[in-house]
Amino acid sequence: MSTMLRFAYLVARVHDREIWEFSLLGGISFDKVSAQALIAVLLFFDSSRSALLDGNLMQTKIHNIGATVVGVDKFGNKYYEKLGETQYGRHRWVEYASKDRYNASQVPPEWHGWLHYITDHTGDELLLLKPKRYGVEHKQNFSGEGDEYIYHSKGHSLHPGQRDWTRYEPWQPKKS
Amino acid sequence: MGLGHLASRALLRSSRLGASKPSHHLLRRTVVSTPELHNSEAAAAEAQPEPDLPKRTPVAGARVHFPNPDDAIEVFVDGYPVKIPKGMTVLQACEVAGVDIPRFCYHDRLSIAGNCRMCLVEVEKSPKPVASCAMPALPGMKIKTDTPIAKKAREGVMEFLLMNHPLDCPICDQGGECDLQDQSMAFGSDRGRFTETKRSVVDKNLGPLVKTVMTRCIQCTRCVRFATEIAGVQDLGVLGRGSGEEIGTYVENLMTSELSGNVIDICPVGALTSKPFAFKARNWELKGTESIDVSDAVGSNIRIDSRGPEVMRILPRLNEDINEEWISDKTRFFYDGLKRQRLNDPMIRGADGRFKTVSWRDALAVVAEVIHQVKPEEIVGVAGKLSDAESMMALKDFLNKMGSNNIWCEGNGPNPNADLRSGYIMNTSISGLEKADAFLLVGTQPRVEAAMVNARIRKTVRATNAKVGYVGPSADFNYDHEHLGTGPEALTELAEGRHPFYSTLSNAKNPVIIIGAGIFGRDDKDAILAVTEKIAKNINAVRPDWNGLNVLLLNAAQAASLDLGLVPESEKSIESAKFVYLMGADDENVDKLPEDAFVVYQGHHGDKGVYRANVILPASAFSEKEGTYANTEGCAQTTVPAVPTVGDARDDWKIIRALSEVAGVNLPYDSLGAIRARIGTVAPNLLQVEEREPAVFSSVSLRPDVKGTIGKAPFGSVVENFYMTDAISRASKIMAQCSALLLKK
Amino acid sequence: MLGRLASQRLREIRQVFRQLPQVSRSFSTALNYHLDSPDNNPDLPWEFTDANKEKAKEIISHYPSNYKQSAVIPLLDLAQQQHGGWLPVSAMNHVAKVIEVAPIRVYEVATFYSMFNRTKVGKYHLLVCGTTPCMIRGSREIEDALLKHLGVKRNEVTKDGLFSVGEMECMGSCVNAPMITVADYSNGSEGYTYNYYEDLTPKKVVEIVEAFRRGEKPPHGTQSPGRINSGPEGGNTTLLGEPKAPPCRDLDAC
Repeated sequence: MSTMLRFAYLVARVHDREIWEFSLLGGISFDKVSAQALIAVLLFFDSSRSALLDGNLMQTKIHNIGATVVGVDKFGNKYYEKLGETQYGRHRWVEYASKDRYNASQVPPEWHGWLHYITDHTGDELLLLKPKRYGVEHKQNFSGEGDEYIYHSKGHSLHPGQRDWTRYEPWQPKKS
Repeated sequence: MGLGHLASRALLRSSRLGASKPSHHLLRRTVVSTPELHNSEAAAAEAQPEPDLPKRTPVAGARVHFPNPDDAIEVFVDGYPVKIPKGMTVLQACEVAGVDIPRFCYHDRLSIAGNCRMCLVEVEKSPKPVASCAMPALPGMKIKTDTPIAKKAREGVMEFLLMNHPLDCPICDQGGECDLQDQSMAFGSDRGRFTETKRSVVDKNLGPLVKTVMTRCIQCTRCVRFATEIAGVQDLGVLGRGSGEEIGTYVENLMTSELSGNVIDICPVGALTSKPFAFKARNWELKGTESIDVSDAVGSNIRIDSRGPEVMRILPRLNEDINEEWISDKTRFFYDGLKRQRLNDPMIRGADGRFKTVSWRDALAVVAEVIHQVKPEEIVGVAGKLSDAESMMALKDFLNKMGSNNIWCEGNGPNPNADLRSGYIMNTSISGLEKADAFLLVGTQPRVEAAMVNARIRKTVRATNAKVGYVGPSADFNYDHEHLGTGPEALTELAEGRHPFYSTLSNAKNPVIIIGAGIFGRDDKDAILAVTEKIAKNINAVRPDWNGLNVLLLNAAQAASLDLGLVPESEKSIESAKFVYLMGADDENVDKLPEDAFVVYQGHHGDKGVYRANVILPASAFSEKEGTYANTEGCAQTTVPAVPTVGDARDDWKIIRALSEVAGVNLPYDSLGAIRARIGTVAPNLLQVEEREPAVFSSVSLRPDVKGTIGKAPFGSVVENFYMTDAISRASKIMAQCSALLLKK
Repeated sequence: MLGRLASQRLREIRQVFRQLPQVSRSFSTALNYHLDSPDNNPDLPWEFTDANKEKAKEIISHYPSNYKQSAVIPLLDLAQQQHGGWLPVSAMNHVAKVIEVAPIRVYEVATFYSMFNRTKVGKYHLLVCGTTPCMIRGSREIEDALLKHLGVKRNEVTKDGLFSVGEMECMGSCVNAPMITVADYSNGSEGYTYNYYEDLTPKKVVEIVEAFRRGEKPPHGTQSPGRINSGPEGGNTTLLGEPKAPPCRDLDAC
């Protein structure tokens, strides 16, 4: 038991910016939840390496203990809520479906409001209001994810149509 | 909830509790917190004029014109006394005093609507803020533009205007040059209180030039007034009422005016924007070059906005003497022709009839060789309608040195009269037309030939109820006119005083006769000019203080070419020509050319002229070179390069200068300054840039009597398609669209 | 079980919609642009009848000859009466021709005034007052009763083309609220009437409609048997005798 905990602590220390958060949260959870349960959760939910190596994910996992899943969007992101003992303003969060490459733009608009305390309606409810005719599918932001996602203006050497673009159309003698 | 919001709430509460404590008022931060209003005495005490005010200058350096010095009145703007002529509005008085009043519906050149309420100012002893644009200034009026009442009024009006205005700025083409944007930054509140849904309005289809996003409209009705008053097409109107009010045409109706593009400029918001320019560039990315338009003979002052090597759009520039602040649609939208059909390399037609790209050295060598092989009298040079004075001078000098004097500019007819300058320019001057009270249009349809001159005539007709008589084929006018006949016999009747319109002309104080340049192509041209001069003499149109005998030219190059004396020696020279130098001349009739003639085409567009050419020399267009153009009233103006030329093209005069060297007859100038000095010896008026030099002698007294009789043939219409008159506009896709959609079938 | 779940879901959905701000926004006026239809397009011929031509001439003669355009409202009204209560675009074009202005100037006027109908109305156009005093006195019930009885929506014409129901703002009969106006276009511009029916109940308004359907002309004005015009029920209660002189008529004395 204690070895497992120490291991988790060591892993977290690798990501040193997470250490204080981890220990703080850990401290709270030690009061309320038995350490055994913590390890069980750790092992049960995601014993993959990513959870142990990624402090953010680890913290989310710890946070998830005792929280209720409010909904899951179509990308598989899980939305948690924990009322009561949680600090106000930290009682809603998301666990991204992607465990290695996640960012806030993966949250679809219908869940955005709920997640940011703009509304109390969950994404499932707000999805009903999505316009059928012209509502577009949500796409995450790929900025900084490689050259193919970067916009290069016309004339830039990386612009794909750069070669067949001219600033004027020359007159072509008729092939007669 | 933000900390700031919380703080302001707390302050509000405390100020409400202790309303008697004045200190809280200063801290209060609400939308329209003007506690001074509640204490009128304090406000009045504050508004006392300080004794020494800094000297103020009128907005944009405007000059005040006093038609009658006795009618000057004095008003006080923010305590500063200004003298203004009687009849000026409060807003104009404020402008003279150097105070810029925010406004949306008010426009100098349109009638006053007074419906946006943005120009509210405080006037002493007036119970309410007054709309300064519609309020005449009265003697001794004390106008206050920076008092709390005025500020609150503006803030309130702005909040109402923004209520139904969409938050489109990031996707709006007007963004960055939007009056609403600027004025809401300057005079608006930092927050609004409107929480309901905004209204939306169906977009209208006004044709291929004007894009509408009617939801952005703030109902200033500038476009409606412009269409009704200046463009003269009563298509636009204000429909509906209240929050359902919108600008539209009610029935599906394209805006078929040659001035429709100007509504884009006068629209204070992004409701009317340029369709070809939509989403092409942001206005702060553009480099503005102040230049001259060459699409007609008016020489409208324009600003060419370019980004890098591309011309992105063309906007008008203020010139009260020529185009005021409008330009025609052709001027505004033919710029995309500058990017298409361009000649970018010298080419030589091979033995197989195909063009082959060659180097400048080879092309010039071939031309120089051929020109030496033909007899001097078989050499012909034709300048195109877009040629500048410098290149025409060079062409004339070069061909003269080769021994030929058969050089002319297209559109001037077989035997142009270049002896007397008053015989081919608009002697009244364009702005002088406003003083006229009767017009006689001879064989000219100014609406398609020179839209800006037409706008001037329409302005005069509207302002003074001037009568317009017209001789020519039935045409589209946007003002009341009397059709006197289709052929020259109507002129004979007028000259003999038999025609009923003659009394209108002879009773007029300042009659104006405008002869279209279309008659230059007629055989009986001199006789028609003579009979017109007789009319002018009879109705006393040419006096020392008034010259009402005008010629309205068609092309940008015409006036300068006649100034430079581009007159052919023999009328039929083209039929025996062996060497033809077409300098951008596309509309010259080359069918009569002998089969074995050698044709050099020097120009910027692969238009009609190239198909007969043996050698093509690529030249630069008006947006790419510095050149002098004289407009129809004889005012010389210069274009300024806005973008680099395409490919291997060179300036026209440089090509001819280089050719002269290859041909062994060096022209004695190799800089623009030198060639202008040469022009100065031929036509010094072309060096008086942007200053119109009137013709000294009037042709009426000096012209020798002409022989020849007036023909029976009726006048023809010169411009068949307003949107396609020269090489650039014929290459333009936008102009092609316009002529397909807007021309009345 | 499934049914209960479904109904609960439906309730939740309704809840979501109820709490969001109202998305739609209603306008008092109809469309501000013209849409071509077989019975309303600029190509249809339209002219005043001979009798109305005389009338139009008479109307124009009221105005100075250089201000003919001032006659636009009475002429549009005449055209509307002639055309069965509504103005097709060709009628507006004709009016523009008569008063010698551009058609758009007539469209501006016709779209501004809600009394000009630019879509088809019934022979009897019933206008329910919807302003506050009438609303307090039950104009919504009146309108509901009318719409239910006729089986149409607002601004819709019944299948037989007899009736249509519209809404109008205050017509000045607040003392006899609720009220409706019946614009009767059944007899062209000669027999055109525009009558108020006041002090209505949902039952009475249906009776009035039925009377019109039978071709009768029910008496207009107050429908309350105990009232005369706008007077109180059961006769006047004040101002019965000669009014007393004002206390301070002699201005010099005060």
